[in-house]
Amino acid sequence: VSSGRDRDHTAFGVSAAHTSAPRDGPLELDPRGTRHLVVAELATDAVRRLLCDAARLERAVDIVGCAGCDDEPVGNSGRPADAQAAEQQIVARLSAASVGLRLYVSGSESFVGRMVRTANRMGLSQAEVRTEVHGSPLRRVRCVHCRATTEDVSTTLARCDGCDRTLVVYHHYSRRHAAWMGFQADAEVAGELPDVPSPCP
Amino acid sequence: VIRTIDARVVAVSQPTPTIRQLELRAVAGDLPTFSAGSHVMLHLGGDRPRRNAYSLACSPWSTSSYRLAVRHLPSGRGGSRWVHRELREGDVLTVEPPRNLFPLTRTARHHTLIAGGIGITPFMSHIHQLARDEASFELHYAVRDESEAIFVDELEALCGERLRVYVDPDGAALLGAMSSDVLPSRPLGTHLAICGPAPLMAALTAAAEALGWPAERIHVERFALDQGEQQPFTAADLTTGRRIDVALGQSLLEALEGAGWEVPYLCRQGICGQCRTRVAGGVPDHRDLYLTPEEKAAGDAIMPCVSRALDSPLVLDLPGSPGGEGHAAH
Repeated sequence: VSSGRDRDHTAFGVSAAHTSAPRDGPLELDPRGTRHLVVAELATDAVRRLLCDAARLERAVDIVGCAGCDDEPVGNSGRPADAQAAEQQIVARLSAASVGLRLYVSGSESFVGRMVRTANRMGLSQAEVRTEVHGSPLRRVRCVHCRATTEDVSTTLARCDGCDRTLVVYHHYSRRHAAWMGFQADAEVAGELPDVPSPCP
Repeated sequence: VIRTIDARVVAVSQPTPTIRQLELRAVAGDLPTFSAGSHVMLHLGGDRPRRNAYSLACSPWSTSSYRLAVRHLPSGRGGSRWVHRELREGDVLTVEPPRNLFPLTRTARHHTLIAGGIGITPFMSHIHQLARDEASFELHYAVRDESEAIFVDELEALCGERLRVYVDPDGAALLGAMSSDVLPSRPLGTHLAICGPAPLMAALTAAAEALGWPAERIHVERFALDQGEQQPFTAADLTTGRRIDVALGQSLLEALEGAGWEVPYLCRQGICGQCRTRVAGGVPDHRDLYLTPEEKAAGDAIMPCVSRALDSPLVLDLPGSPGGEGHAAH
């Protein structure tokens, strides 16, 4: 399985150096924060390290751990089943929170993107959110033509769930949609697809 | 070159023993609109002409007149003394168009505004804007003595319950209320804006940072720089070797302008960074708030509006040539 981070997009005149892709990690406790909220999709070393740091610095940490996050302590409201349930739980916590809180997110790229989007909507800035991406490199892709979001994309060319077009997954990430931009791959000459290493399944 | 406005002083009042309030109207036509938090540079008279920055203490859509409040600073460079002693109703002043180093963060979910003394002035336009936008805000206003509070009726009308006035000779009551009550409890997405004496702003900024406020949520308006001790010195142009004497009480920028160089500038207070000039030799005496500590240590750039030199000559790599010929083509 190729990593989602090093796909070859040179065919489209862009490179990873000129992308809006969010940079992340490593997950470290920000000692300037007065409250710390962790949202973890997976029980990872990054989360364990963060909890160790918090214990050492005697900082209380509130944790929202997902179903796959088996051996971690869970928050008071129980373990969310999926990203959507996790989003609801952090909305509930952030709506009552004050400036000083730091949010830490660990999980797949898609999961992290959705949590960061939710946090930004609740008023947290980039300086108040730290992330570390692990696990699945599958991406969310938003079609610029029909505006549908296709989940679990792993290839540079992908079929849009909304309009069935073949899309190029471009190196442009929307924080507002928590998704990568996709546009029609054969817009110039119908049926003429660019030569990319990973063809559409 | 900045287009200036001729404005007549149509009203002068003295709301407190140390604050003089001015109302200015354009000699012809309307004044420009401005964004909340803006200030203007007034060209002031006196034995040595100077420019001083004053916040526009009125609503941002006020184009018929501008209102300013000038505090008399006995230790200042003389501009406020001239306004207090010499300026009369009916006088015409040269005014540079408004500009803004203290804008509102319009995306904030809540605004916590903190004013100390004459630092209330930029917030007058802020609260007019926020009240009209029906934004969530609060204003904390500290004065040393009840008699020093200005604009109170207008503030009460615009802010209602959102205004809190502190009579606080040393700032301790304000700082205490901020640290124990306000700063720990403001909702996510709140922005903090502070204007007042430099020690108060430093203490409030430190208190906010200690309570987890990231720097990007803290905004300060510095209206006065402590210029400290001054010595005359000499600057030199790297290209021509020409020497420029900088007198006591004169800034390097003023001396360069006097010698014919057109150095770009905005604030003339060491804040905006516009007049940054390369240093090719000599040791700058940095007094600005713009360069980073690393840049100051490197010693290869100076903000001539406020900074000086520790030895002479201070060799400058000046753009273009004096006399307004602009940048040399090559």
